Amino acid sequence: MTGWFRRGAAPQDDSLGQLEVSARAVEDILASIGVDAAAARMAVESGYGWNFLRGSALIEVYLTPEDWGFLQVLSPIMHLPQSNLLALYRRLLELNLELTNAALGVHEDVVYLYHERLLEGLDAVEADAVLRRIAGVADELDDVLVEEFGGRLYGQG
Amino acid sequence: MLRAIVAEPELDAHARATAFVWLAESRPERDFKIDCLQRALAHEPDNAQVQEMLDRLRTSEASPQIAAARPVVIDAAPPVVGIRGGPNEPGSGFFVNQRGLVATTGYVTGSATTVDIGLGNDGTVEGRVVRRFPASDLALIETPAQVKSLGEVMPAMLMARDDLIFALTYSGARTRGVIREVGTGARSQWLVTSLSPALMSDAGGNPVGDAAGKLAGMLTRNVDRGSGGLYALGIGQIQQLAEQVQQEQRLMPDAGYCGACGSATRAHRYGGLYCETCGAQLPEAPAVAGASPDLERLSRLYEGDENEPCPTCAATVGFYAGRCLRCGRELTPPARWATGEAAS
Ligand SMILES: [Zn+2]
Repeated sequence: MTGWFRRGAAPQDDSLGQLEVSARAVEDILASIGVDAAAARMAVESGYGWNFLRGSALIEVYLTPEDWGFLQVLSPIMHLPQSNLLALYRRLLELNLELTNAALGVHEDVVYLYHERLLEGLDAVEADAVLRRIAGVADELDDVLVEEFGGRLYGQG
Repeated sequence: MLRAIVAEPELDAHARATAFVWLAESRPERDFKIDCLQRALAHEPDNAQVQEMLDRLRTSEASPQIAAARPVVIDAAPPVVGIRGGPNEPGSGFFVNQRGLVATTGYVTGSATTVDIGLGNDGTVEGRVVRRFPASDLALIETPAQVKSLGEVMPAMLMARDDLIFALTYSGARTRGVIREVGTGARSQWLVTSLSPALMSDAGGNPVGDAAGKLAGMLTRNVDRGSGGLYALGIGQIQQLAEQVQQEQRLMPDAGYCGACGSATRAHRYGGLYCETCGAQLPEAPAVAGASPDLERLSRLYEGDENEPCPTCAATVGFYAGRCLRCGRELTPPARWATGEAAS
């Protein structure tokens, strides 16, 4: 996946400098939480991307140059089960209301936990908090939801 | 048995019509088929697909079979085919039956509804994705190919730890590995291999053969977190799901495909805009948005009124874990139960 939402605006020159600074900051943050940033790098169409495992959860981080530049952190949680989807959808909406600064959503047949914010003004402390929070919630939710509703953990057999 | 089904008084018109379509498939005689399809149409006169089958049957004197348009006849199935057009292209795949059904992974096709299938020297054909099974990461694709002979298979349950395997990629690579673990119980569809994602050059769907070249399964890009090895889906599960799809197609010849969840869907046939399994908007939705939907059929399809009404909001959508799926209120027992005045 090459960034989550595609924005139409062209990259702006002054945001590219900021993007590189932010990329270094993200790699420092990843290192501080025990992730090998170089190994975590992904090839993306524009901007930067990393992925790594946190417990049983896969975390993807994107820095996108579109518009003013965004930090996107998402975790694909599970493939939808074949039945009882209404109950699962309701549960996801209830959980959505409980979550702070993150959203649960469905794209194609995968449930995602998602956070996005503007790069501008982002500091290491805040990015660290976001990564830890998404990783923590995803790691907790994936097993719980699969246990209750069935489906398959993302990327696993 | 089928005759008993079509005579069942509880069946609605659509179910009765599909039972007649199935009955038509059960015998080779052309007159019998025409008779069955006419009866199907009598129950469901607006079923265009049945009408089309009937028209085709009436105009084809030579063959009682309903043949696919311009089939590509292949003497021996190529061990691996190429797949392009999905979000993670290129991928690999292989034929699972003589009618040209191709298996690959759901990761390879994503939500695409058509893909290009590379057949080596036989060129490229367009394939139509007919079902995806997310729990097995399997996608099945219909092609115009007719395959005279398929290779031999080796059921996954006969594979053992440390058995030699080879995974084939459409680009020509043949990657050697071993079986690390054969799944048991609820996980019996899976084999854990020693192959790692870094060894494989495409998006998956590679046929996995044993040392004798017998087809044992399909390599996915799902990773066993313990060993780092890729999972392969056993050939038995693939064949079983392929058979299930063919049965569904006989029962629901008018069904479409929901790319979002991989299910068969009939909502668009009645002017519905959303998949009855996952709720995703169907690709046909814009075309049918202006048409007046068949609300009665749709409500049956969406199973909106089959449950006891909620005592709080009266919705008949149903309950989960003791709570109404519409209003979320707990389904409390009537007061006389709570006070111990239970009726005997
Ligand atoms: Zn669907």
